[in-house]
Amino acid sequence: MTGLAGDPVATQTEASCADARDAEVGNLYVAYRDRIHRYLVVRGCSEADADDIVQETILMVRRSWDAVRGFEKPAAYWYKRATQMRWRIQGKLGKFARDPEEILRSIPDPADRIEQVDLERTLMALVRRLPPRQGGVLWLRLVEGFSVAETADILDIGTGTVKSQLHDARKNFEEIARENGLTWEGDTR
Amino acid sequence: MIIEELLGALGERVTPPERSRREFAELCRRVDNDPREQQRIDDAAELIDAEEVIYGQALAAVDRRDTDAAEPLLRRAAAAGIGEADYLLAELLEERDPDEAINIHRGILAQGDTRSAHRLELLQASQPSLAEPASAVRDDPGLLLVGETADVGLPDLLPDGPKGDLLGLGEPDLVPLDVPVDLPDLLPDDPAGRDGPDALGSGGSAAPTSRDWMRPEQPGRQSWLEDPGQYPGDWLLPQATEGFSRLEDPGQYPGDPSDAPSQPPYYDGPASFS
Repeated sequence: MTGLAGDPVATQTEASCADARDAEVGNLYVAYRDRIHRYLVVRGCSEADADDIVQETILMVRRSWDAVRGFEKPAAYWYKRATQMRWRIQGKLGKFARDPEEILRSIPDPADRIEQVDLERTLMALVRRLPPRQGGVLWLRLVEGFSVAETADILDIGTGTVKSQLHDARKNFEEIARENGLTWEGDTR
Repeated sequence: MIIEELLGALGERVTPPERSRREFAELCRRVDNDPREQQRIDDAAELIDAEEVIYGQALAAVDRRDTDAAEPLLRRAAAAGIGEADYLLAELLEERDPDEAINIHRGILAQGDTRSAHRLELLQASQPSLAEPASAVRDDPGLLLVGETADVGLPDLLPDGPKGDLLGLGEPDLVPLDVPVDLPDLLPDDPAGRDGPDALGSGGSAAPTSRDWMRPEQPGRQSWLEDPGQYPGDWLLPQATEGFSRLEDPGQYPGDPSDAPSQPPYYDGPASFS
């Protein structure tokens, strides 16, 4: 039992548990902070909104850590919470009316080879041009490396939906990449 | 697949670990020292949990084909943006309310779920009177690629007219105000045959015309629009036998004897259907 007022042993135990919890959640934060931030930006959040969501949801993870620590991938739980909070802040399409300037800045000159451009920024901008649901699935599967089942769990959708949306997303992404002059080895078209 | 390799190269951490640790420690300190902040986080988490429970109940109701139970749950889950609640709701409404189902499917399609394109085609095939074909939505690049901001090359649907007007019909000729215009007689005759000076029983200073019964501004005349309780058809309602509208004349509810006319306007006795 913890939290007994005036019981120094209980108080010390509680404090050390909290310390252990914060150490574990802190490690999760260090490992995934930027990844989740990037995922939120790709899904249409502004940098400021993404910062807010990252911070609020890690506190939710911390709050539920006793249950979450037993998950195979606690990070998936954080992604799920971030996805849910993103919707609450942005709505269905929400702020997806992105700044055209931002997109244009991110699109490379067609004359450039892919090695010459800021790959990450460019790819993020191109993924953001996908329809929202396809962009989310593509990012979680191909960038974050979650399995079909994990992606389905994060997005609260069926595994069949993940597969079909990934198929559409990949097709659309390649098309967008070509339209914007990206070339890469192995592109046969 | 090379695209996967490209994307897979992303996601490397850029913030120095020490900075992230300090940031996290500060977050914890802030929430631990501020009960209101703690409460705010708790409330948000509990709200999301509750919405997930609702979605779970909705899925269970859909599984057991309890559509009456599923619909309100799916509506709430869809409003909260959870999972596929909107798609399931649209499917459920396809028979109950095809119009709403079509609207929801269109929204889903705009977000990139192409299953809704097929559902829209089926729906519109079964409801030919409903709106545009699904192909129009599916082929619209602005819907499928929501983030598209570059020139998408929209086709010119309307030819330019000689003066730049969209329809190419030219500018309409304006009619000077002082020129008498012979307007067509658009107003219908009084359907109840109440034309003439005695139509409302009050008369007017000007010579009445066959349209006077539609003109509320005439002094001494009562308009159906201005005189609650005397709307066309009002006399058919039980309370109209007292001659007052329940909504517009408070204090003079049916049964209030004050000022109640003995008969509603145009009351010619009980209708006979024989």
